[in-house]
Amino acid sequence: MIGRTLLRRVRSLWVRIRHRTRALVRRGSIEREMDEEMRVHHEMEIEDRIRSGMDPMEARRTALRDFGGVERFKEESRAALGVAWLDSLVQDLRFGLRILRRRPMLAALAVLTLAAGIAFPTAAFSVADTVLHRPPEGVPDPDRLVQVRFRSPHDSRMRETGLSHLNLRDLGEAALPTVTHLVGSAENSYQVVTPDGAARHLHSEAVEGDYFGALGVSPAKGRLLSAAETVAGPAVAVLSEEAARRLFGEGSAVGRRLHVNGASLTVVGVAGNGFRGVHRGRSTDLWVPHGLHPTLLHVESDTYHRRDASTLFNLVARLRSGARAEAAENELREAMERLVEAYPEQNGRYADYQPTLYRYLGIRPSAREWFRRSMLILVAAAFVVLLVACANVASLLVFNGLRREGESAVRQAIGASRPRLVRQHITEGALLVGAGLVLGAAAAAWLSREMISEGINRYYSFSFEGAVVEGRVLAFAAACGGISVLLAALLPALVVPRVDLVASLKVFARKRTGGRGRLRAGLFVTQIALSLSLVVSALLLRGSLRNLQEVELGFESAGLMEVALDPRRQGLDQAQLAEYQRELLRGVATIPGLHSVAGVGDGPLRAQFRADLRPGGEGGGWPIEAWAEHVTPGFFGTLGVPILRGRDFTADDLERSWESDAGVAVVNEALARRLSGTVEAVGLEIVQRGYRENRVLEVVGVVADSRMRDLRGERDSGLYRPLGDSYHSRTALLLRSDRPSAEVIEDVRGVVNGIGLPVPFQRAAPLTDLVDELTTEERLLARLMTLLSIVAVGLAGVGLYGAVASSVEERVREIGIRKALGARMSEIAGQVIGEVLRLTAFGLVAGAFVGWGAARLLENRLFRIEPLEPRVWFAAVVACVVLAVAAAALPARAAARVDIVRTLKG
Amino acid sequence: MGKEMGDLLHGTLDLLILRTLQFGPLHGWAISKRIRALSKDVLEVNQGSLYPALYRLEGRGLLESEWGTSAEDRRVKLYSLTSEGRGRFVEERSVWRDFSSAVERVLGPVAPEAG
Repeated sequence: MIGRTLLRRVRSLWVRIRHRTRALVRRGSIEREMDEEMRVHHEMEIEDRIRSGMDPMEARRTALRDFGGVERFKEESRAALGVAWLDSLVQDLRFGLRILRRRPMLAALAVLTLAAGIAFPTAAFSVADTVLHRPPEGVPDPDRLVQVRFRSPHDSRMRETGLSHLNLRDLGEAALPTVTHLVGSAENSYQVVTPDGAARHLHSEAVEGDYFGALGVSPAKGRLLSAAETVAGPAVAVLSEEAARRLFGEGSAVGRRLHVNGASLTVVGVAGNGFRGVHRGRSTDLWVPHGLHPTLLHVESDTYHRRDASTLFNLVARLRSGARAEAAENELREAMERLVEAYPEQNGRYADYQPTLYRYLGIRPSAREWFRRSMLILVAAAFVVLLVACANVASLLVFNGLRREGESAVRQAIGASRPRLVRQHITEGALLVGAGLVLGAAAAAWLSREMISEGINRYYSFSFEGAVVEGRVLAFAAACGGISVLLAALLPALVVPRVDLVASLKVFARKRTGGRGRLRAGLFVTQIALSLSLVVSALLLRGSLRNLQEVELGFESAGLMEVALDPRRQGLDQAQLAEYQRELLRGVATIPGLHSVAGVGDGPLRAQFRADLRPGGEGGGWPIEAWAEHVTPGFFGTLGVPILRGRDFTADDLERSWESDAGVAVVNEALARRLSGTVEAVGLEIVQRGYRENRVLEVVGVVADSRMRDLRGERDSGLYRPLGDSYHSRTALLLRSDRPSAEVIEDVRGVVNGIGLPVPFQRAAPLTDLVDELTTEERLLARLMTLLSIVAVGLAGVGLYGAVASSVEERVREIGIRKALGARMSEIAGQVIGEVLRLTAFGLVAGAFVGWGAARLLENRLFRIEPLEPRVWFAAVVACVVLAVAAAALPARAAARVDIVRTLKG
Repeated sequence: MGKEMGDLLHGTLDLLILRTLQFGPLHGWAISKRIRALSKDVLEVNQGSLYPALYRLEGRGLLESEWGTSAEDRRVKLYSLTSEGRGRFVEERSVWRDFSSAVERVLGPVAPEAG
């Protein structure tokens, strides 16, 4: 019994499906069939009535009458078929296309405007996605891959850190259940010399454990490094595809030799699928086994193989599927605690360290926060462009709707319902948005690629491979499209059909219906407000940038050149390094045309090391912090920093520093005041905290403050020591000369080559370039904001023109009458301009709120410029007023020149 | 009576259509004629109600249609019951009978009340 019912149901379902499909697919023939069916029925009815004796004419008439209203009944039948909605949709689309074909210029303008409005936010989002969210290339299943960073909860200043290799290995061997792999890499820039003698720097990683296995990277050629190899440290290396191409051209790189930091390595493989490390942006080109690391860094073995060694590895872990991050963090913390217990002396500093897991997305964590806020600002600004574009298109459609007002009226009269009319307007708008979306997405692809290569890569010397418009980005573009349809199509659709049927059919009674006029005014005000806020933002950022660029450096940067190199990387030991530096300084002193020359460890504005200090003789903590620089005699003179008290370092101090420890220091004024309350600090004793032992230093001089690290922020305390006291081998030469910098740099190269050791330059440029580098983000942001403002203002200008022109057009008759009654041309024009100014005033007030909000968002980016800076706001207001008046100029002129006779003729 | 047919509940018309197709396929006009005949000219189904009902029933899988030729050699669309349609007719007829007898009981006998 159940079986039979079931069978029946199934068959019935099949019949229904067949029926529906037929109805959908064979629309035309279904219609014809219906018509035929009705016709046959009609004929049979007539025949029947004739047969029962009715007069044929009478039979026809009554049959027709009894048949009922044909169309409505057909619609009901169609509705019973269940595909009425498809019908209306197709009809709406055809209708919309027809309208657009009739006004191709208008449609094209709308599509281009929408394309621009969608392209900018999509491009900005695409760039943000690439920089912040894209997982690394060449790593399958990146979701389970995490970075482990340790931080002490007590030391808020300390950035998160990795571990030394001994701790790392122990953690890896602990075989934690939540983690399938735990490996590490230490990043560095190595000097690589190819067999043809060319020397360059490659961003490299020394890897520990089954690194490539953990990541799932496969080789493009040859093989990758195994876990055993990374410990043993044979003289092998793996290259990225890009580096292999650059170093060896099209030939195979496998088996070739490279000199890396003085050591000879053989290339055993090339990493495939575009793998260039786990952090985007600073791409890795070379991987070596970690066992080689001490050789490559020229660090003494016993320094390196300690748990508190200064070389720290970034930990990379792959979570077991199903394992949760918190569980892994707990296990890691416990494992770390066990290591601290086991090796209390060396691991003491790691007590209480907390591990945190991060996914590998985009650029490294330390750079993320700044980027995120910059991207947010950009996307918001680009979104404003979209809003302006939507306002423009809405205005265009209203303008267009005016012309079609009569048509709407007629359609309403023959029975098209209001919702149907709204639907038709929306469909028309959606067609425009659809075309704009396609164009806009294509433009966004190009735009984002340009932004990456010309903006991000160039300004930051990153190497992003270009943004891709796909997946999330396309969804964002579609969302922009959706918003555009809502704002540009729905709004006019809600307003336009509200048409007074009688009035619109009467050609003469062109009074402005309230809804439309208010909409136009609203759009005008919106465009002014949005333009104002963008212009204010751009001007604020530019002002901030200018302020940064003009910051008092404390030294004379013009005419100063910097050449930086690291001779240690070529395999020198400590004694040899001292000799090298002596020779180098002797050599450059002979270069002609130099006012002065000096050596320094890191260089002005690039101090890397912080010194913890306390006044001599006191015990306890380290209350004073300062930036530390290592310099040669003449450094202060070369920079142009005046010596306020005491003396500069002598050649003697320098020699002693190379031999052991000079025991002397020069402080800047800020540090002097911290030590003694006044600038009189000469003769004071201070103690500097050392890695293994503390150093006692005597202050022999006090110099004026200068910027040591960056352009923002307070002037820091600075401690200067002779060059030889530096633990690090990086040496920068500062040369002051009137000669062109290229020549001087060439001469320095000659000196370096003369010494006989091939050392490439890490930097060789005028110091003013460095200042530019420090303002990179600000420059990029200011430029992009300016670009967006110009686009928005341009669009707004076109939109404002359209709004004023349509308003004038609507009132042509009224103007004609007024002229006939004696109004002068200037009066008419003046009235138009006056109305525009009134609306502009409203727009400025609204814009003030939006602009103030935007300025507040930017606040922590601004340097020595207030969000409400009067000059900026004044300039922006003037710009908007000029824009409005310029947009109104032509229509005002047209209004003034209205031909009375033509308008009165109608 | 013709105008009141528009008020006839959909369900009742469906039932009538199903009934007329009990003994074989018919085209639209024949269905309306048959209903008129069976009801002794009381019920006249308007084309405006008939065809939507036919399409609806077909959509629900109770009828199926096929083009064929009539007695006078005209091309006509013939409707017939599906097995589902047959089953539903039996159910709906029983429901209708229960309903109408209940209404009858409430309305009481035709004879006038005493007193």
